[in-house]
Amino acid sequence: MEENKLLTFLRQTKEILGDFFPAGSTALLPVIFSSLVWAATRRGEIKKKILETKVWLEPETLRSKPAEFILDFFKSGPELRAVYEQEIAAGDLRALRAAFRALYPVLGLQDPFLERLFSAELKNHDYRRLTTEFGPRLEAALSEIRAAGGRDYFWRTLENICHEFLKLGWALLSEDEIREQLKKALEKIRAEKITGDNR
Amino acid sequence: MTQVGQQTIPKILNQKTRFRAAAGLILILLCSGCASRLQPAKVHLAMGQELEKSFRTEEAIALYKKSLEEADRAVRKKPSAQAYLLKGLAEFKLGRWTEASRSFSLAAALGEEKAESWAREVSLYGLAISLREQGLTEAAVRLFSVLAERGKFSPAVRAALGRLIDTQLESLPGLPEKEQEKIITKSIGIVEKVLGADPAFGYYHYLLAQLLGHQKKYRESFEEAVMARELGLPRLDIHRDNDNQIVFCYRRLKESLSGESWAEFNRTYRLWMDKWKWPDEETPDWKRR
Repeated sequence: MEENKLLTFLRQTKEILGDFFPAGSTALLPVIFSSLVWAATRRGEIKKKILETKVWLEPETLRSKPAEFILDFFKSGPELRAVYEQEIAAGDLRALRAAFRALYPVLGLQDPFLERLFSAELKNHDYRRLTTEFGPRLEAALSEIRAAGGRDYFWRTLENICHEFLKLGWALLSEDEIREQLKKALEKIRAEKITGDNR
Repeated sequence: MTQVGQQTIPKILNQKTRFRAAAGLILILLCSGCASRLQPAKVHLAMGQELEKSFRTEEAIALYKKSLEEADRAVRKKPSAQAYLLKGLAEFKLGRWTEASRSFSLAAALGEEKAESWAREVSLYGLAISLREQGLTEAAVRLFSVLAERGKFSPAVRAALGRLIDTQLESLPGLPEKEQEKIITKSIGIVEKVLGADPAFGYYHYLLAQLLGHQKKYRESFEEAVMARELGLPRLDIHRDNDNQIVFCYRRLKESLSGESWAEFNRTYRLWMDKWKWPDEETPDWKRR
């Protein structure tokens, strides 16, 4: 799809869904990004994925990892290693384990909703801030979504948007390509908003 | 299944015989109607499970909903143990556990013996989850353990086993090494026992790979993770976590192996990597660098 068409589609999407969220919402762009990625890769019912309402009896990932796995995770990327250099050198597993709980779903499992929610921190490699804000920001975003979801037509509107997005042929691209193009386009839209506010 | 299609009706029949044949045919068709009413529900349930394995959850859910509608219709027309069992399975797949438990109980009331224990296990699992959420970890672990080791309803066994192992592993940091080893060895024993009864379920291999990783047995952990990947995992995040375990084992083995043993492992690793179309040894296909 051409970049301009994608931008137009995303602007309209933001405008339509924006009505369901408060001004300056933290959840709006993550909802758009993750819904479209999940829709294009057909990876689940959007509502369930966003609210992370686990199917009651579904098995889960094991959250408890051995010390070696955690150290390996922190050493695997140069930026991450640099930020946690002190803890790694001191073998401070207590601190690393606490940070791992927030960083692994975002960097290790690359969850699209979390990636977008912490896009600024990821862009600046500000992993400490991401770790500190993980719980409160996620809870705030989820409560915004719960409030939006309680309003008439929210989920149906979101599903229709995903449906329209699929009609544009996105399912033919790889997840990587979809993520990259959406990320770029959403950044542009976010910048437009900031520029508009400053005028 | 009916054999109607394979039967030939004799051409010359007297009136009485013709009447009996017609009555028999109607009876067969009626019976086949009962069975065929459930057939689409069964087919949709099975197709949904197949799609779920490849993380096409949205399509799988649509099929479970269809299956539930069909089972529901069958239950309204002619309540039977089998129809309630199917209804319960579809409800369970859709996460409607209260309804699922009720359907299993009704299936049991109509003569399906195993459904009674299924309903009980679904309720027990719910209780264990709430106990854990309230911080009553020990009581929750006891229930998870009972379900994992003695449960009959495989979805409840699978989920309880995962929760049991995770809760056990959470207690490891801070414990003396000997105590940690004891817990890990016991957990491996439990997973191996369940795996013996259901060796084709990828999630059990995933659990074993994780536990072997805790024991620093990276070669064995790698092999179990490969099996888990090949057999399929129930969720995308588990699939990705399992891929990360594969990469982690590769890195550890690269450090510890040398000479022929490294060359042999590296050959095997490259074969899998090519099969999965990974861009390099440390980057799964879904991961961006």
